[in-house]
Amino acid sequence: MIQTELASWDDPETRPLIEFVNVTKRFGDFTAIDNQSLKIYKGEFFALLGPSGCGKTTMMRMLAGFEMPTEGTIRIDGLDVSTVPPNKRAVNMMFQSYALFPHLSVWDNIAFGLRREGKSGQALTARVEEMLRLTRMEKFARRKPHQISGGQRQRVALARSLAKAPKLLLLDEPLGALDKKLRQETQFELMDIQESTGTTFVIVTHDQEEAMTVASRVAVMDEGKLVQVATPDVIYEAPNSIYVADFIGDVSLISGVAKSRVPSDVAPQDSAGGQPSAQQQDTPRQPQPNAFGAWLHDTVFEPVLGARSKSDEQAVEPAQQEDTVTDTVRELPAGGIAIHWADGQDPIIATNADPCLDGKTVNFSIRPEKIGISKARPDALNAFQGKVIDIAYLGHVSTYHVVLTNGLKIMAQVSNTRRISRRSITWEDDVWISFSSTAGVALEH
Amino acid sequence: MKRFTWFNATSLTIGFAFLYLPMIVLVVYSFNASKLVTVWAGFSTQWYVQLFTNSDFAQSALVTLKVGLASASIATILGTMAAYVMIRGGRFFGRTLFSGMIYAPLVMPEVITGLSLLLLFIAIGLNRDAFTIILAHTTFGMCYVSVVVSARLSTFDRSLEEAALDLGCSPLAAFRLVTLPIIAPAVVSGWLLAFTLSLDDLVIASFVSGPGATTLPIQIFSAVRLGVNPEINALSTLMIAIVTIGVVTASLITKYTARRPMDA
Amino acid sequence: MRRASLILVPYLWLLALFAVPFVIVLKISLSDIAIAMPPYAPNWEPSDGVAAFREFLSGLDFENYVWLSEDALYWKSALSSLKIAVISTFLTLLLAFPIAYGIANASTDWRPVLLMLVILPFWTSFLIRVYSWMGILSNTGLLNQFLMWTGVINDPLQIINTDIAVYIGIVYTYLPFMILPIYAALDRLDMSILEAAQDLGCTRITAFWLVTIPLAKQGIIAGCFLVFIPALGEYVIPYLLGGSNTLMIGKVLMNEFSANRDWPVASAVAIILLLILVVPIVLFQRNEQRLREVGA
Repeated sequence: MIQTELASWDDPETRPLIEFVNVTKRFGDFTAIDNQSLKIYKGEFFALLGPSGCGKTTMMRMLAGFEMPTEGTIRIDGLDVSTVPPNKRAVNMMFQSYALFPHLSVWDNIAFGLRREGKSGQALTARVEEMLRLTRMEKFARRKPHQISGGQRQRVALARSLAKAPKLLLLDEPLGALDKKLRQETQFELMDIQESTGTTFVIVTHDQEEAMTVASRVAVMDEGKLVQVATPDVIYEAPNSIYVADFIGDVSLISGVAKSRVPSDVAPQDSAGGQPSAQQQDTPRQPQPNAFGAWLHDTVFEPVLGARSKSDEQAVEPAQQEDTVTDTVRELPAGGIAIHWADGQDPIIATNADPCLDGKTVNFSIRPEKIGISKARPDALNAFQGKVIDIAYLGHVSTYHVVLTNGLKIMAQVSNTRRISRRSITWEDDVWISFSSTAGVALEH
Repeated sequence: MKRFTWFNATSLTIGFAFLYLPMIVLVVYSFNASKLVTVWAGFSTQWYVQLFTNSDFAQSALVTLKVGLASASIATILGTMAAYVMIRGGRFFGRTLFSGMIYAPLVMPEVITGLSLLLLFIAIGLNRDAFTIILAHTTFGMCYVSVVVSARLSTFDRSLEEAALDLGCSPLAAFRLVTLPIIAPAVVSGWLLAFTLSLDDLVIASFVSGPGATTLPIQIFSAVRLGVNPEINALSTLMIAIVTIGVVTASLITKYTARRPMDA
Repeated sequence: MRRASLILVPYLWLLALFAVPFVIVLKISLSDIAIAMPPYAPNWEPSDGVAAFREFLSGLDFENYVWLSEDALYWKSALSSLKIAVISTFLTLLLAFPIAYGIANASTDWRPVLLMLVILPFWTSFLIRVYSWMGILSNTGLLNQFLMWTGVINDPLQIINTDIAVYIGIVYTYLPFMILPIYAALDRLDMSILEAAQDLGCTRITAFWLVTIPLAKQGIIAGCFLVFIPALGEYVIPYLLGGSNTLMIGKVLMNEFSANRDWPVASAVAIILLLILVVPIVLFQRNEQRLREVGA
């Protein structure tokens, strides 16, 4: 995704709301957070994502003030809060168990924090009513927590933590106790509330779908380290490690040795043994811009210089991908690397990979929905033969498990736009899988 | 599926007869005209009259109540603190000793507790009176309170306290506004338990009390060691009546308050 | 700072009024009887200095324990206490189990009432409950009157002032302690397990022996310890219901202390009573631990 405006996290001028500076947290011998730095900006919906025990809850509890960092500094709004107790921080938290006070009514739960800061009378009532309206809990104000449903409790907990209008709201697995349908609805509600109140939200979750849905940026954590901090689309499309690729969604991994490709390399179709496309025979090869250059040309120079040559771009997309536009920039067959993944097989061409990987063992990671599947050999840069061994029908999509000639298993996902009976590919069929030269990511081993 | 059979009915009947017949006999014979408790000689309330004219019993009942109220109240405060330390205190020097000292008095024979406290009071030259009984009763009472309260605290969701801190409470305010109201039923049960045990205690009190402070159990014991005494029957009847009214009222209140949320 | 004072207040209280007295008992049990006040020697005051303390330590010995071990009375009283505690615990179990089982199988409306009826006697005075049996068990008491009226016996039975009266007293006063843990264990028991046992070919009786009893085992063990431990050190029941022949270690201790004014021997008896109790107490704690783990 291309940002036309610099987001706050890309703008070096913006002062972060939260800053972790070389923070380490140890519990006895166990290092929960290992010398990590992180900046979170005002208005963000920031997700800390990882499996249980990865340190995400510790990060949040240090923000709330329930844990003190062993080393390093935490700044909120420029102030060092490393040793400030939780009751003195302009930070509120929504607890995983909701932690609603069972002896107080919904109204009194929401008023609790306001009363602590000395609000009373009209001001108090007005604010509590406002929070009740925001979370649509007006009718239940007089009930006790055990007299309302799980979803309602979740909303009361949110109202209570937002009542003091904190600079920062922390949400610890806020939707974990809800069933799937309610969870999805509530995710959008949370996003609406975050937008309307303008509060910075930091959410802790182990549910990657939830993090991708709600967050403006996601930090993927593993064993006390922030593995990747980026927008959801970057995390998904360009994971920086096998860990991230594997943690977010489904992925097929192919390991091989990278060879850098020079633009004058032999056209891949030739070695693939298929029919070279007419375009490529007619037009002499030209040096091609990289993605940024192409974008620059298309958006800035095009009116002046006219359309650039797109002749070498891959013409064939995976069959089912036409509607989901993955690339606004057309792909280029030159540059990048070729990955030699099996003897006697064509290398995988990854034009978006760094040629510096030359000679190294890499893992080529590719999402199933980026892979097309067909019975006839497709006209694609990367096309390999295999056999269908399994089909998982999930309703809206089907995932084909294809085993390649060297035994490697690859997943290919196809939208079920047609009725199931009309589909031509079935078990034991010999098929071709294909993907574009920018569909996957080469990760250093 | 639960079954209620003749076997169950019989065993319950026999069991409850065994539990309650002796007390019923005690009550019935308190209205006996004869001084011989075992021979029925007609209805009379003379033993009650005699009991109320005997100022010794009133005196010792007052001492017992005073000791019970004071020791139960101090024991509740100390026991709740001890429970809090046990469940929330984390690690500290001598934790094992501390938990040992909380559990040991529960299983310690009364004769040993009484003897050891008496020897302590003599060693430090403390005069034995109601105050020493309060000290002794507070010590075992706080252990019972701490067991009851820590059972409640251990199932207490800690994030409730964290939520209070997060919403701006100091740790003390969080305890007062959140923890205490939630554990209150356990604290009240602890107090009642400590109070009852204090009223009931004979052995420890007879070790640590002095001539000036005779509690009711000591008074009763010195009367019945010589044999059955109709005045004691009358006194027992009064005590059973008070306890029964108290327990029944308490259970009705609990039942009523437990139902109320459903009405709302 | 606040945390430190929270820990220190109950800690110091227990140290001063539980641990220190216990050390004093231990120390006096190693001293000799003296015709003085306090009636034991040697003594040491901090003002006496370190040298005197060394002398004081050398004055302590195990003489009282040696003496206790040589006197048959103490052996007999220890064994008799054990015997009385074991028998009355067993009798309590026999009576309590059917009651607990009956409550567990009663309808949900009745259960709280029945439980309250079990607990109610606990709130009344222990002393009164023991006293109530004095009139019933005496030679002219109601039990003998009843038995003679039915013609079962012609002459009154001697029940009071015997071990039998002590058993009855212990069973009666400690019955709720046995009923409640067994009831708790039976209440946790999933009735579908019994149905599964019957489905697999058990009769109701074999299902009871093979399924109910093993699953209620920990409740039974807990109840037995709750009766056995206090019964072993019991003083009031053998004093009021037992005779001069009823030997119990608590009674011996009281006798040494108040009648003989032999504080060192009384202290030594206390220590021995504690040593006897250590084993059941440790076993009880382990059982409770296991119970908590099962519950978690």
